[in-house]
Amino acid sequence: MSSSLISPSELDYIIRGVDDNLRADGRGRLDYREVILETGLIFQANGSARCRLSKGTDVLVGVKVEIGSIEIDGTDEEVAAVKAKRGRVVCNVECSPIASQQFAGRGADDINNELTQLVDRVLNGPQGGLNLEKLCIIPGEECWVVYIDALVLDYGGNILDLIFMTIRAALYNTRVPKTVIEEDKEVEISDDVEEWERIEGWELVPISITLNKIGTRHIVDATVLEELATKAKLSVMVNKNGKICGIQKIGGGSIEHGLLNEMMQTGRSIGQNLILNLDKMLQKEDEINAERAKNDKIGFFAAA
Amino acid sequence: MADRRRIQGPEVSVAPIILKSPNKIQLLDENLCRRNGRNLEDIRSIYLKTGLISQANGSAFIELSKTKIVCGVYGPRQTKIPAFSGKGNLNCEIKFAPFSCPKRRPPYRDSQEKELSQLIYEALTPSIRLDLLPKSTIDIYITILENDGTASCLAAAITCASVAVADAGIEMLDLVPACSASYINGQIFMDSDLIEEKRESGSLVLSYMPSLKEITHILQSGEVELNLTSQAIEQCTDSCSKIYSIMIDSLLLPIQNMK
Amino acid sequence: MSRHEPIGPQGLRQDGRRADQLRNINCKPSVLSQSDGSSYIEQGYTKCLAAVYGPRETRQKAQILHNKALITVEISLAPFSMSERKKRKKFDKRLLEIASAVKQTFEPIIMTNLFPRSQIDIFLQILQYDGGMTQICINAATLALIDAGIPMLEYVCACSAGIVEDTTILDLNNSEESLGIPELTVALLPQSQKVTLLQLETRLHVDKLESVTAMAIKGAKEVYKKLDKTSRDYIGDLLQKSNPT
Repeated sequence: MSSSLISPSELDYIIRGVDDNLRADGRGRLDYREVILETGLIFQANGSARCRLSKGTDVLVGVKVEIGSIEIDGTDEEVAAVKAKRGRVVCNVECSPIASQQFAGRGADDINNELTQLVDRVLNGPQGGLNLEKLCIIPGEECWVVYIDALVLDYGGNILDLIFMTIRAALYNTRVPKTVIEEDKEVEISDDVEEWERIEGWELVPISITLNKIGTRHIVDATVLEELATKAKLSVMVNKNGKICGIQKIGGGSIEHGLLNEMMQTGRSIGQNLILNLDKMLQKEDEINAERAKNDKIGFFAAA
Repeated sequence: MADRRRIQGPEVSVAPIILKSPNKIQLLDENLCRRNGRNLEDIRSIYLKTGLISQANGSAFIELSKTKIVCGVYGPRQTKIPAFSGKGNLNCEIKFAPFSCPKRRPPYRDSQEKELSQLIYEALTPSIRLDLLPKSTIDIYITILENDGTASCLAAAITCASVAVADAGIEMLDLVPACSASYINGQIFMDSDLIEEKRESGSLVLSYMPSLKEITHILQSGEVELNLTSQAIEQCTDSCSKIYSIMIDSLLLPIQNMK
Repeated sequence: MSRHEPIGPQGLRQDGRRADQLRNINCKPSVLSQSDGSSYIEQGYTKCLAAVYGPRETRQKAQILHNKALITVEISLAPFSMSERKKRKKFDKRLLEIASAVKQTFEPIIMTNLFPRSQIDIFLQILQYDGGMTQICINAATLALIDAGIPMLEYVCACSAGIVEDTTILDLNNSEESLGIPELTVALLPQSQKVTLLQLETRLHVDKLESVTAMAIKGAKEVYKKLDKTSRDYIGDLLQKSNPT
């Protein structure tokens, strides 16, 4: 996938640094980069957020809700009965060629597919957190379809974790309009801009913590060079309650049994702390957004 | 905004009538036995045979009651457009036969198949000595003839592909058996089939190299407590060791027959 | 839906602008970490990011030009950029056409003969779209090329103009575009006063062409002032940072 190469001396430098718990940018093994968060930047979307990892990775997520028909799956009655009362979530991840030259042309197809499937699996399963039953409008017929589109704008390593963080923030920011069902089962969307609801269950949406095995140790939040030195990656999805919502090994290389358990424990505790911090930032975002609206200072880099 | 100038499809669509089946499917009876007489921790019996595709360098067929998978390995052969790399390339392609699932699968590769191919690639690479095969490519083609649960299919595909690679005589560190488990109502159902999978709240697929004691792939979904995950990982590694002996037997059988 | 009048009784347009007023432009160079040059620009609600890579080795041997550099342009549109969600294929015909227009605009301006057998890539990402795709792409690319330090003859600044009955209007937004107002896009070289791109896709009376072109050129000059100020300010900041004394 990655066309970039790393020289043996660079590799050695990174491995020794990780061994000594001191990385090239001064962080320890389990330190995260600073997360910068903005919400509500895209007017044409129902919800949006943008997250950056200090001066590296940059992800923008737009959430759109549209009325769609419920999909009927006729193979298993019990399963179909549950599905008939649920809304849907559709995820899509795109790596823009402006993020890195390796995404130009068709170069991003594989990684787009891999990330889309991964995000889709986590958000559409029972662990996704969102209360899909609340998104149903008329059981068996119409429901809200939540389209989550993530766009990677800048690539400084650790895309997956940032995508999940941004999606969570964008879902927090999403406003679902109220609907009125008329007599002929026609669904009317309320015209009143003030009449909206937040998607229920956004706080339970998991985030991912990716642990990179370098040498015999593991680190979080790897940079591009550190990712090249990584033997195996383990992504642990965690929600606010500390439940594991998914585990996936990514990339070649294998992990020893004992190390796997240790990595899962680390991932879980780091994930929970990170969620607490993100929630604090999101609460502040509402105030900041109101302030920005007053000064007419809305926009990507106007605020930065 | 809707296009008003064109004729739209019908405004109202009617859902097909779904008949309720008279009795609910019971996953477990009172003796904690599953529908097909297995215990919770039992895996289905495995039939594994090598060398059935004469054109391929190595091949294998695996059958776990309704799940049927065939795999062919071609290579190592010369890479067509050699990129700068000291290692060999591994190319995995998995395909569901159009008739393998309850719904027809179109014959072209869809995004799920692309992802499964990637997962199998990641599960197998740690076991194959690609560093001994610079400028060459190994192609692994897997066809799922019958699918009885996607997680168990993925696990069986990894097992089958690993045996086929060994059958092709490619140098490996170890065989890679894989096993799946479902979390249903806080219990772990090993090697679940389609009906169990539809009711699960989460699943785990694990591939493991028993002699090196290294995990080559892990994929878990569902909201699960950490200790339940650890328990499932234990159970899966145990089952992997059992599958490992079946894999070895299947590889030895043709050689013993030759004598 | 009643037909909206593009110009109200007080001579103001739907979004409150005068006929000859540009939308508010905000821009910033050097916003991305991986590219050699990048820029962000927003013109009203149309927002665009640009990244430039190169000059570097040509990736496909068949494309090598032995006397000058090869320029490639790729435009992508975010799925949430329009009011209706639509997943565009990467090789959408309309985007390819605009990309080709942008490429042809820059080919004579970038001093490609300085970099034989190499390649310069321009990637554009539209984050939000409210009309004026070609012009914002050209303006964003200009700023990113300057940030990448690629030698150019001069700035390229683009602007669009249209005409409603007898009033020429500057810088059309999406709702004005969808009313079917004839739109003319001009890319101007502000110092030599030359035009490198002139695009008109609808019918326009020949008598009106001159006034509309003049209006678009006027807009392009304003865009030039903004871009020039932004890049000078940015370079000034850099200089100050590099020697604080």
